[in-house]
Amino acid sequence: MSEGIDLKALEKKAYRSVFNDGLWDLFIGLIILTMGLSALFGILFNLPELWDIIIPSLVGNIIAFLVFYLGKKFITIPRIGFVKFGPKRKSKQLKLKIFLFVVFIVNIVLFILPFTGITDYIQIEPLFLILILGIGIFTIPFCVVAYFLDFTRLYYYAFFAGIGFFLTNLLSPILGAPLDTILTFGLIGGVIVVIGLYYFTRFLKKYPLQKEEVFNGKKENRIG
Amino acid sequence: MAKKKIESDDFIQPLGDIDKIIHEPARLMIMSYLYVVESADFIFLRNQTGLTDGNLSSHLSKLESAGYVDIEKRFKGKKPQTLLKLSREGREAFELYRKKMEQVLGGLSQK
Repeated sequence: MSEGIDLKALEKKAYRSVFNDGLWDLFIGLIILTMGLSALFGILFNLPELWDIIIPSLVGNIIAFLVFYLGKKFITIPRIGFVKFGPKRKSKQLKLKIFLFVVFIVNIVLFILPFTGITDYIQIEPLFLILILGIGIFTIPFCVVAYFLDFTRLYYYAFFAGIGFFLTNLLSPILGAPLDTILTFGLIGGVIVVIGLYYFTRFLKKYPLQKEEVFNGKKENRIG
Repeated sequence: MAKKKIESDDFIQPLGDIDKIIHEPARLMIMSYLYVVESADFIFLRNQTGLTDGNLSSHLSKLESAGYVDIEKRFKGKKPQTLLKLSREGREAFELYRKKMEQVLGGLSQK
């Protein structure tokens, strides 16, 4: 052994192997893509006002969650195995769950706020408001999640998703609504989904579905 | 002459104290992985270490016999799962091994 075993690096390597499946990328990409496509589906299905945002967003988010949850359960874990990390990671995950719950509540409030009419009394420069929205909805939460998950790619996604609203505003005079939103968030979300698919296929090649574990030369019997 | 022999033995003595169960590359790798996580299953450890099923299970059996690894067999759905965890003794032995190795290697200076 020419170098010592760096236990911290070893733990990090084991931990990061969990993110090699690209499912987090797909989850985040699909959520951003939903923002773009919800405007399109609202028009296509001729949904009434307000519902044209709520229904496609809800369906898109449910699909993103199902892809993530079912993918982890039926594709990732059977391939890379099961692992429980130490108390430091557990504490970070608990903090992340609390943070995500707070973000969820804040987002619901932000979503409802325009319908109450309160926002009509708020005098903020539109461009400034867009920057606040982008940073508040995407950049800060994504960066916090990236920190807690130790997931580096998410910092880049945080930046690109954050400038989404700003880009929509820039494209608005040229393309008009809803094409500006569809193009901006569709493109950003689409690129992240493609990155996720790249990691996912690479993961499937690297970790083909293993034969069942053979412990002590005996293949354990399945039940049923 | 006899005095010189005793001095030489004193110098080599720490090497003899090293835990030979852990001091084997594959078992050291297994112990290191299990030390940094709370628990893992057989498949995870096989992927991380790159060992074959036979190799991994024989080393795990040795570690289990030494009381360093707790092995729990259970079923997840219909599939069997072997859950592995460092025992308290295993954790202590690994920490002691680290300290001893640091002492031994720290003493190996080129003068």
